[in-house]
Amino acid sequence: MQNKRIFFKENPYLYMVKLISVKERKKICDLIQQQILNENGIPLKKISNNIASEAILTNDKNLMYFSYLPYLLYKVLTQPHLLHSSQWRSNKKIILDYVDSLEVKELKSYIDDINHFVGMFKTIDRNLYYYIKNIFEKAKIKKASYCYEHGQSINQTLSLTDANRIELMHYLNNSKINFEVGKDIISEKVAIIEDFFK
Amino acid sequence: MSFGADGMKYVFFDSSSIISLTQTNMLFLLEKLKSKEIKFCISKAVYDEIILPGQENCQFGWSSEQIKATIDSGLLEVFNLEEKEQKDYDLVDEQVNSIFSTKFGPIQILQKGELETIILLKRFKEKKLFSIDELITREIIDDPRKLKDIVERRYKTQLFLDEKKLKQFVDYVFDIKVVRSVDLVAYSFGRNLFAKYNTKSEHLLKSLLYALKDSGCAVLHEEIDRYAAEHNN
Repeated sequence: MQNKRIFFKENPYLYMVKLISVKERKKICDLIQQQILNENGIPLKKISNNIASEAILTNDKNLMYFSYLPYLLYKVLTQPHLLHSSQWRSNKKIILDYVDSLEVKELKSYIDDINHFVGMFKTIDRNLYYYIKNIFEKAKIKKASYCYEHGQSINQTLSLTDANRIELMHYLNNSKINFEVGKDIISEKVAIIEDFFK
Repeated sequence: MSFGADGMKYVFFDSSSIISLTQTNMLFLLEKLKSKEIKFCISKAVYDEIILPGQENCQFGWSSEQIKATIDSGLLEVFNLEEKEQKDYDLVDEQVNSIFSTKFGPIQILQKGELETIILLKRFKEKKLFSIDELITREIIDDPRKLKDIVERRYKTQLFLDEKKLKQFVDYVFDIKVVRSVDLVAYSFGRNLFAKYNTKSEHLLKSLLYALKDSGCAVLHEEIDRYAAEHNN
């Protein structure tokens, strides 16, 4: 336990949220804002994964949607062409204001909220809008894969993340979990089928 | 009402398996494999999972149209749960979705499509197969302890296993044999159902199995390569 505390103290981005109370959410939003100000996207990926872990544990779809935000921002902040665009300064302010507004919002509204976040760039910056829109769908697949690796069936995974079934199945084809099937089972299963059709 | 005493055999597909066969243009195998005593089936929940999204979104429209046509032709039948089976459904739902838990509560593993199929498979006393391409549902039926090992490594918190519920579930599904689309196709290949391609080579077999893998079937590269090599010898 002691080690765990030190671990989190030394790695604030690895802070594991607990059922995401208003206070904890404020902490996460502050961390996100800090990374936007520093234009450092990397820690946001970890924050997103930690929130997604919590969403899986608590089977909370709203929380899963909340995890998409740091993931989207991680992707945006690691794209030099977006950061060097003439509109980045105003975009950055809009994003910061948006994260600021999240601190006090009800968790149950995140599904609509993140959709609104993606949509609001449509009239502001088309490049950023299309980038975020594409990444949003990819984020759902990434998180769905993460759920699947945590032992949830595809259906359960889809209901938690709203990912696209066919795209997810393609993605999972090369996921780590499928590599954990150590058995050589085709011959064994073909024998079962032969017996069935006999 | 007694089911399955008529010598019929039932193959139930999960959405993952039927989608893999559709996307790889191998649905025709159902017609080749069907006989008087073999029925290919899906549950109503699986039907809803694969047909409804296609009606709402053109991206999946073509796949769902092909499956719908297969149902309309009578090759694939849709089964509903009966009222009395709903009780079993609720019981198994509670059982399987609380086998694993964390300090936050039970982990939900299976949903309506898989659960309905399991209940429907139990309806029939005779031979039955469950074709499912995804790993999690397959492992919870085939080897739940191994699934625990796999899953435990992923969680950042301790995972608890309810031995009693696990045993109840294992006892319940003991007579359900699980296969994948790759296994069905490997079997079909052995029966020469791809004869029109005029070759029975290792290359064709591997191509078929890799196509299914690319459509999402949980199978390893090594598994395919080894099986194809063995088959060739």
